[in-house]
Amino acid sequence: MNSKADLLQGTLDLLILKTLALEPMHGWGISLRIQQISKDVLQVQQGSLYPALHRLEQKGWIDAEWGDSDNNRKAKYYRLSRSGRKQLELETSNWERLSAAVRQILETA
Amino acid sequence: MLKVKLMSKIFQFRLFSLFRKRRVESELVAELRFHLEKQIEVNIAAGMSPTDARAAALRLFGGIEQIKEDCRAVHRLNLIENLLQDIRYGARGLMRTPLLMLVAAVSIGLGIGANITIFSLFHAVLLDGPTARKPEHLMHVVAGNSNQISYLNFTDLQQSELFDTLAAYKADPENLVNLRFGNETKAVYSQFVSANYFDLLGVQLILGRAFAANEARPEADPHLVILSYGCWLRRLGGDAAILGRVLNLNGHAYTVLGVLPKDFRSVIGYGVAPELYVALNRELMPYLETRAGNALNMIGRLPDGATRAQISAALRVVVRRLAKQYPDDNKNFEQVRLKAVSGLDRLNGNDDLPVLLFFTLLTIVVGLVLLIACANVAGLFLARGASRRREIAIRLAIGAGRGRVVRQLLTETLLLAVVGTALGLLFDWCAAALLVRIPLPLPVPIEFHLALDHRMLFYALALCALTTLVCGLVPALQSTRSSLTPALKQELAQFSHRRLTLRNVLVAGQVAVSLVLLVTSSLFLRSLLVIGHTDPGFDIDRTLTAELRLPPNRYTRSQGETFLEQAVDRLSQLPGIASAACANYLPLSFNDRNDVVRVDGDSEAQFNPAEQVVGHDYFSTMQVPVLRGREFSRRDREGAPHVAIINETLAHHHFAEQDPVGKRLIYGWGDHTEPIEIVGIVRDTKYLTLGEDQREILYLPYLQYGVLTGGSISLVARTQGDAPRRFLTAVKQSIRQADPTVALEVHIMRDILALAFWPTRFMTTMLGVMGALGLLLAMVGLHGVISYAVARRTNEIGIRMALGASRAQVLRMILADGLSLVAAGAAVGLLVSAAATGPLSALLAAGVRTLDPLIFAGVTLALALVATGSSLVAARRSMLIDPIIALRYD
Repeated sequence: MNSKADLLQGTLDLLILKTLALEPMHGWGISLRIQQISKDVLQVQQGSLYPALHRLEQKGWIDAEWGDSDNNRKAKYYRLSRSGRKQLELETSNWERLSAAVRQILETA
Repeated sequence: MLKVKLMSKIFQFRLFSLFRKRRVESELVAELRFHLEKQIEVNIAAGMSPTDARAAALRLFGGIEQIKEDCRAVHRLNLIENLLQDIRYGARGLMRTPLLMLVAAVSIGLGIGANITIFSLFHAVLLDGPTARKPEHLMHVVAGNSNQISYLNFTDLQQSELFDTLAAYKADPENLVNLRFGNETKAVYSQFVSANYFDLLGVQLILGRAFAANEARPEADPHLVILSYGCWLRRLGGDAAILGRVLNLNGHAYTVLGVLPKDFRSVIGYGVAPELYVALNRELMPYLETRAGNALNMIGRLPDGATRAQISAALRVVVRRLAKQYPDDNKNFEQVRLKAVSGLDRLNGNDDLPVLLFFTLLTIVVGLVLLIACANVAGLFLARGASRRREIAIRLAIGAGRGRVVRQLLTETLLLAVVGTALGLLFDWCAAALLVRIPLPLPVPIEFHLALDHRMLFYALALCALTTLVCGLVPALQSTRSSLTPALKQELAQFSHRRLTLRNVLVAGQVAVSLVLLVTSSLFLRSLLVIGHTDPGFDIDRTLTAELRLPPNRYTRSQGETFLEQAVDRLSQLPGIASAACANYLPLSFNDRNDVVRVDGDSEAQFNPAEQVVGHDYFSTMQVPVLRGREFSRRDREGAPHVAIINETLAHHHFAEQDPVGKRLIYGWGDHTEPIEIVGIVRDTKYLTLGEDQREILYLPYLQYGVLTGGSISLVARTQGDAPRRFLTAVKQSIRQADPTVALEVHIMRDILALAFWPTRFMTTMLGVMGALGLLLAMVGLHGVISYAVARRTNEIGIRMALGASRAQVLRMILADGLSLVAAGAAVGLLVSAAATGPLSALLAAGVRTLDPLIFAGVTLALALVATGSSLVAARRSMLIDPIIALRYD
């Protein structure tokens, strides 16, 4: 378990927005996708995922609707809204600035 | 705009959340279930059995309830929900110990009630503005060369039209009118006002109408009067046909135009309530044509949109013009001042300082009482918190945040505080109803309107919030701080004394505060006793007084002289009356006048003795011994050389070893000085209050210095027997026969004197009640602490007894713990009292020392006795402990 990196504060929102930028998805799908793409390095705790989803929905960055999943099961799908897309751009550039700065320090110091 | 939209959206969402709570909840459950099922499928696909797969998925999931709770928090679904839940839970918790909670609520109620009452009194006396339309636009206006202005200057200012309306009222401190009704004539406190006075205020009368501008011009010599509600009801029996009726005022006919509403507050403030409002006319204001005759106070209404500074500046220009236009009459005519009619702004630094101090003292006292009540309740909640450690620990363990638990505990306190505040409002309502009924022994009528308005409610709410925080926050924080494990195992922190430190400090603090209150009230009580035994220096057992008031301008000087001589003679010839005399006023009657005097030949040492103007035989009537020389006689009248009598103290201070009789004083200052010869020395008497330090008094003969053309005069008569009350009617009739238009009040001296006790008696009662209340609350707190200590230490006591400690030893141990708290509190209280009572000496009778060891020792002893009693009751339970049961107590 310890080999898996904990999510940095605030990065979960960014990851969710990025994941949803591709296509609408339910919570399970989001957690799966993040895990897959990060090659199992990042594992999203459900305890943080769902409150984060509800928080983003509250802020209007994602919209939710109920849709059909496999086996005719209903699932709550989240979709990136227009303001969410803007927020994603903003947070992406913020993240890039931050990681570049951290890399700079690690390489020179 | 955007913000408003956002706010409304959030609000809508909240409402939506509240109503659609069920849907949100079921969606949440469905969403999480979907996730869980997916995880189980994955696990089964990886080869687990369905049961294992489910367990593993759940494990991975963490606390589902916690996730739900976090999601709900995002939706703010919980805010109102939680509050309601907390209130329900809190109410249940409080109801578990109903008696204890009732005591707590009542003590908070008493504390808050006392605070609201004092605040509303403070507000009514000092801050409240007059009854008026938009009173914030009204200003007291001072312009010219004194605080008052002449009628001519006033009309000129009026014509400048700087103000929306500028009105005036006569500023005579003795605004009395002789109101004759039936066969009684009474001096009635009135206000003499300009025609537009009620237009300025914009007050709706309950009967009739206000003065019209033309009919009530002073030049037209109007005889019109408007009655206060109280005057109409009490003096005229609430006569429904009062409008247009003619009243006899000062012997002249005045027509009643209207009646003011019941809760009308005058512009004078302090609750002063004139009974009559009379339109200014030539009789009330004879100097209409004298530009230098300053007699009016002005009130103006600022025009809409104008600021005080603008009007002030414009007024300055007009004032300067008036000064230039009438250089002879308007000397030094340059002052301009606007002052609000309500709020702190209306207070007058020097004049209102004693009243302000008085209320500050009262506010501190009731604040302390509330603090004691709060300390009690806080102690109660500390104890509850300690005994609920297990419950709180479980809540924390299953995932409640500390903030959440603190909020829950605070809700309980809030609930209690709200109940307490409601009780407080009830107490205040009763106290206000009582207070307005107390007749105040003051020369002018005072009415307070202590209605509970929005300001009082706001104050009550603020107190409620404060109480909640003071009572609840510390206990809530403390009881959620405990480490979980021992609490869960239900281990009591048996031998750690630290847990109760805060509560102990609270109890000690209560003891300290109540000690301070008790010491203070005892000082006032001592003061009252001293005053009660003070000899005023004159006969109070056989004397009667008659306060009369001649209608102004009805008598010439010689007519007045004749009337007075005859009245005194007639009085002294009544059967059973030994002698009679007159004076401008009697000692101890709230009148105080000073003179400027120096000893002839000594130009340096000017001094200011108290002054009294008295007639012949005054000293023999009052039984004040003449020590040297003679007393005034009939021959000391106008035309004869001016003479004076001084009291011992004046003689002692300014004539040292010499004999003052025959020496001369220079009376007055500046250009208005005259020599007076001292003809006698009399024994000291009290002058303004019984508690005062002995003052220097200068007596002047009435027929030389008294006012004879109208105004107030006091007569005094001494009976031969000991029952002066029997002569009240005879004295009244004898004076009324001389002139029925003379306003008259006859009392025996003892009754008048009772008034002199009033301020001290009030303070004594007030502080005594508060001190007793504080002590009672502190004892409840002490009892609680000791009871709790006994319960907590049952186990320990069991061990001690099993090891051979006797019951007496155990009792002593518990008592010692309790009493050490009391001792600590008392020590602090004594120190604070010693420091705090110093400034009180001004309010106490002369000769009462603020550091009276007898009082300090007495109060401490009384407190110790009560505390021991209260501790014994609580500690007794420790003796009933059976060691066998106690050891199994866990």
